[in-house]
Amino acid sequence: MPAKPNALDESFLINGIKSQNKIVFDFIFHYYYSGLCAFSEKITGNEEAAEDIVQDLFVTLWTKNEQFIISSSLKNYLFTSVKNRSLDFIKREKTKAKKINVLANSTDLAENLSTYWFAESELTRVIEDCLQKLPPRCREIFVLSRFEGLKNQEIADKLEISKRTVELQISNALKSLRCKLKPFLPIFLIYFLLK
Amino acid sequence: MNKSEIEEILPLYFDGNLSEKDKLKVEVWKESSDKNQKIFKESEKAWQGITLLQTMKKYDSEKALQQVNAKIERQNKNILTIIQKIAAILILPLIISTLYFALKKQDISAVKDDRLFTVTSPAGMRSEYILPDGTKVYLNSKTSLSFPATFSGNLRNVTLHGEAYFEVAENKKKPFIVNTGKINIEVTGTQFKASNYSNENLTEIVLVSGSINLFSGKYGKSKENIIRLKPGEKANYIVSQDRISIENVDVDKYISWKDGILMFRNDPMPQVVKRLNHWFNVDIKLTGNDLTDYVYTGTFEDESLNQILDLLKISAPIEYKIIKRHKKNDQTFSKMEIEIIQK
Repeated sequence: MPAKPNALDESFLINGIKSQNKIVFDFIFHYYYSGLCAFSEKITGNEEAAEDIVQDLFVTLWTKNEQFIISSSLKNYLFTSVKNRSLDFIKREKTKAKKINVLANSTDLAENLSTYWFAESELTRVIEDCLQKLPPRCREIFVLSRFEGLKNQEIADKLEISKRTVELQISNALKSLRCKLKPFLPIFLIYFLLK
Repeated sequence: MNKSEIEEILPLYFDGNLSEKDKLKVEVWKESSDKNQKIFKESEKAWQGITLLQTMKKYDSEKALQQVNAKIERQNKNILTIIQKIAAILILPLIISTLYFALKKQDISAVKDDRLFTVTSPAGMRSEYILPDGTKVYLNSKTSLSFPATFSGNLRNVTLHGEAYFEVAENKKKPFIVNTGKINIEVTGTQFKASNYSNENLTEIVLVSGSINLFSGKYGKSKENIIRLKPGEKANYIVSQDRISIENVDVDKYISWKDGILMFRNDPMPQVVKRLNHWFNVDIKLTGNDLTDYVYTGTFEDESLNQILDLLKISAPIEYKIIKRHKKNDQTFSKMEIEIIQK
């Protein structure tokens, strides 16, 4: 298993926030920001709201630093807070009532969190390691598809190949990634809890 | 359909881009064996992992941190303004009261204290006092002045017996009233002298600067205005005749005593004698009617009574003799008695 984030000295980070250490604060922010936003976006379905929720959480974390109590891990605290704030958001919006029900049932969310990664840096590292091992053409097509957001037909036009070849290369990449990511796969389980 | 064919279309399946027919194919394949199920699950997780990373990459934590820093700063500012507001509210009464007392520094009327104080200047002595409102008073020989501990209410009332020079602290809202008996003086801020020695049957008021109203009765309803004095004017009120006369005078002569200077300006001898009596607390008697016609001019500062009498002798045909003091019934000695005789 890869190094878990609790390899980070939790008490150091928590004390850093309590004593308003800006370096620690910035580190935690960069480390978890995109993960927390992706998480909130998954609940709220709203990119802007997700950013607001996460940013407000960090503002509170800084300004109410003394009242900050962490019972489990810092990551657990952050994700649980974002979950609650995101649920509050949709309650206020009253648009996604169905989703609330689904989420209300996933009570084991917080418990599960501690065993999964949710930091962009770590996920990036794992996935990019895997991508590096793909054949160059295959990797290029995969990146265009997944990270540049191009449609298969667009990639085919751009690279002057058939759409069929694009689809094939993407499936090859997935196949390769599946095998290489196997040891890390529990990481992404959280994603399905929310799906 | 074999395994590799299915795997080829899995990405399209996960993206929801498959036809119903192909979708069904994938699902059939998935359910056909545990192994296929496992491959499907792993593929799905890998695919979602990629999607998750893609979602994360949308967020720019650098930019977001700047926004968070700005929000924190704004909040700190808000907290600061709240603190400032609270501080301002708390400090306001202090500022108001400070201003109030600073602007009315001589008027400590907030504390009401009606106790009457009397200051006196013994015979032959002169003294000066500052009243609670800042008014400066010089008391001549054998003079007493009564005033309250604080000038509460709308008036500053003082009562005079004897002779005093006033430098009244200006306060138009609170007239300064000098009660001299029948004639009273209303002042807002000015310099004047007043005398009403009880043994003299005369009340003198000399105005140096500003203006004063003379009135009789009590200030208020029963007030009867008599006259308004102008600077340089002197009011003489003869008590027994209830008669008042006004004349223009050389004011210095009447107020120089406050600076310890005894000044005569064409004063007839009885007047000179009277002043000397007050000044030195002696009893000078004039013998010979003709002496009343002599007028005298002179200024004395540190001279003794004897020196002054000697100087008088030079300018007028007089002789003086000091009568020996005698013991009175109560075992005290009588005042020094001097007789001035026409030569």
